Amino acid sequence: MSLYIDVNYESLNKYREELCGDKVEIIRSSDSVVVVLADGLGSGVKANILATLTSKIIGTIMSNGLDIEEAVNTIASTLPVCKEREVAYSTFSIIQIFNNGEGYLVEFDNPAIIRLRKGKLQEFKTESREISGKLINEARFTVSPDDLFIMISDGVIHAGIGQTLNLGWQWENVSDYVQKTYKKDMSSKAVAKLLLSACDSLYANEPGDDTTVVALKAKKPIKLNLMIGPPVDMGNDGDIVAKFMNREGKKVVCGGTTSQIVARLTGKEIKTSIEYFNPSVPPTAEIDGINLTTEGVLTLRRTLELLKTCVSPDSTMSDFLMLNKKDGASKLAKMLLEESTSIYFFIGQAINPAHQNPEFPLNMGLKFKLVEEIAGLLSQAGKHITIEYC
Amino acid sequence: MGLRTIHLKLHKPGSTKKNIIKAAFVNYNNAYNYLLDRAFADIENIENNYKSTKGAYSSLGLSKWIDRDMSAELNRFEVQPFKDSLKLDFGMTLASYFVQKKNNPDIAFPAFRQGPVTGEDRLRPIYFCRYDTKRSFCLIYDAANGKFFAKLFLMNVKNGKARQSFDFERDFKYISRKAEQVKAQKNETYLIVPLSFGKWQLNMLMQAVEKPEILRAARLLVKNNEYYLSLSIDLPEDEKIAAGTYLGVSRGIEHAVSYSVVNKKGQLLRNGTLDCGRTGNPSEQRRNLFELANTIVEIAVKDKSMVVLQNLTGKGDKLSWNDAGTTVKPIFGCKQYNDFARILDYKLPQKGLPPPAKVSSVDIFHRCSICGCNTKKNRFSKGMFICTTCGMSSSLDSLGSLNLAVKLIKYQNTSIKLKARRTIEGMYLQNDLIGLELFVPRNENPFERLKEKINEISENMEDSQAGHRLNARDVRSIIEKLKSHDFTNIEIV
Repeated sequence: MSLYIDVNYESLNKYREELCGDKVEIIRSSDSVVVVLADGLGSGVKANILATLTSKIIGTIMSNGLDIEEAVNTIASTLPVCKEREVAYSTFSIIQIFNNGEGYLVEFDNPAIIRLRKGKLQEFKTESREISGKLINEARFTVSPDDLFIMISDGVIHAGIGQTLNLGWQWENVSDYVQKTYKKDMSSKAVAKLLLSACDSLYANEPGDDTTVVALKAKKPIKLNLMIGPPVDMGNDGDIVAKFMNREGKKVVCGGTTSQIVARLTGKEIKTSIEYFNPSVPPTAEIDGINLTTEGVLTLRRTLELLKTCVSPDSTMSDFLMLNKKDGASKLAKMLLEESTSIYFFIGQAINPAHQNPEFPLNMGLKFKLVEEIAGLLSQAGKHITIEYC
Repeated sequence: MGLRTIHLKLHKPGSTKKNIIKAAFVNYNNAYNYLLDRAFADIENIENNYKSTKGAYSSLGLSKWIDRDMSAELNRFEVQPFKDSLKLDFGMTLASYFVQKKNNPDIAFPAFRQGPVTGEDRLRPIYFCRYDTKRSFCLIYDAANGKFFAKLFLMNVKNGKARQSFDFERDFKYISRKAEQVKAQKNETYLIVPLSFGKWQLNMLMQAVEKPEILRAARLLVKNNEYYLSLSIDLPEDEKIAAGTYLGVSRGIEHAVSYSVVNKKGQLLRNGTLDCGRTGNPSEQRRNLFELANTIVEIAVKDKSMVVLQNLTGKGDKLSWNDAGTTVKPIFGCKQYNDFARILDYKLPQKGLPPPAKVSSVDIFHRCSICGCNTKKNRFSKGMFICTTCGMSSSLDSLGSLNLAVKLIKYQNTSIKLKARRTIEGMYLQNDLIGLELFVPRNENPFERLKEKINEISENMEDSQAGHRLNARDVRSIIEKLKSHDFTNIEIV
């Protein structure tokens, strides 16, 4: 079994603090992904330094295959000591998931990691041991596709304390909430963002503690093939379309001429939709066997805008909700960002006769630039990207 | 302000006056019961023959059932001074009965006593149907002492009392257009009784001194052995206030009611919760309800708000919460909230504001005010809401009032969905709700044809109900919404 681990995290700084006292380190290697969430003692610069050191040290040691004992010992002897409390302290959680489905969990004083399997809570069977005077909980487990892991800092379970909720949000409440909000096709980014939005709202937008949510979603690799523009050599149309159609995974065609070529060569009819959900995005069409058929440059430009907004660290939950709209750009952005792990771009290099008009504002360079920017953002979001120019 | 009722206490009437009042009550009640008894025997005839052409019943129309013989018969109860009022009172009782019978055919006929009443029975108030210085009742003002008196015609000529002295020590003047001096008569069929009241009532009475035409009918009631004149005053309406905001007032699970004020864009301006003191005493409870309504009216006046209330007569709001087998109910039950709404129904127009709008409250405690997600899962606990789609959290009470406040704005902004199907020949447009079925050939402008067709439906709506699923009022509302947006609020599905 080969798994793709979709990982994302979101943090809120304590109100009026410039730096976050929680730190997340994600280290991807060829066979596993290691995620460390460290929560430094106190808040502000001091906490940030403690958390950064802790997460970096643990991440580096663990990803190099060394034991947790080594990591904890290193932390104990390295972390600077707080003058006020005279302790060197940072809580942490570590999760390592191997591509073959094996998992390893370590927790020290952080709220327990939430694991959902098919949307239902599944608790870990942990064992405790003491390393350098610290009581560490460890668990080894097996990961199944669609398992969701949520690592949280204590800012999450303190949300709303003394404000909207008397006793804050207990761990049980958080796990209850993530179960209620679980949707099979929800990306890890959306999961983290949603939970953090709820915390922010419970804190009345003035967080009383640094708050971090890390979401890991195990997925079977989902492939998406995107064909944009007709091939430069018309004689290759048949080969390229055949290659495109024979590839495993979902299929998207962008561009009017490209759609006609695909329809003609596959012997299918193009049904144009008359629905305008968004006046700035041209309507989509339907071709049997193709998951999505859209217009070209205008749709891609809007798709890029949506992806930029969603991938940005400042994105909000409402930006993600924009992806649920029915226009072609929103549908395409959702498929790229949330419904695929590996994307194969077929970029046709033929020049559109319409674009040869010197007064036409678009040019070939713009199309390639759009595609490259889209690919870059998706790569940043952890997707495997392949581009083939044809 | 509209029609208001104030209660004025008859101030310490002496034993002679008390006996006259008691006798008048007994006479009035006996005559009233006599009329009901006679009507009960002839109720089918009255029901069928005393309604208007539109099927409605009026007090005056029903009072005409009392013919000359029966009217003469009433004299044996010595009700001559208030016979006209008695007939109208009887008409009002029957009109109310027939209206309720339409909704509930099994409703019982109004209760009446068949034998003679005594002073110990619960007595029906004596109705005075007109304000007049020479009959029925009127008020007298002693400006020098700032005192008010009621002149009540309670005796017939036979029972009238002879006056010994013809000089009044005080300068009594009628509260009437001419403000005439009150003069004594040889045989008086009325009582003049001093009145006691508070500042609120004094303010109303002083307005009546300036404008006597605002004084209307009255009822004389007895309560705990004290007598009160319940007086209707038609105060001029306050200047109309153009509503610039919406004030949603919902019932709550932690507080009696919650309110939210939003501007016309739906942005929250302020919100809060209000409680209503709980007591076992019904009249105290009612007073608390009035105080609560007054607070809401104050807020509405301050913010120039159109008040939006829950319509709790049909589907409920699902506000009750089941916590480990225990059902937690809202502070206000439906009845109490509806009573509260009824008070606002007249208090808001009195202040020049529009009457409150009552809207469906099916989703107000489950719909997210930010993203619109509507699911039961959004309710996190008894009083907490956390949206499962966008994470917005709010106290449930605040959310309910906010969702109410924006309901009318949302309704105005919702689009009308049209099913569209394109063929080679043209386009089919359809909407079952308003009965739209239109084919537009491909060489014609579908938008113009749609406008024409909808105008056609609007014009022919009175003639035929066929084709559309909604009643004429709802169809008209949809069409008006389309026209007000110049047909731009159409969504093709």
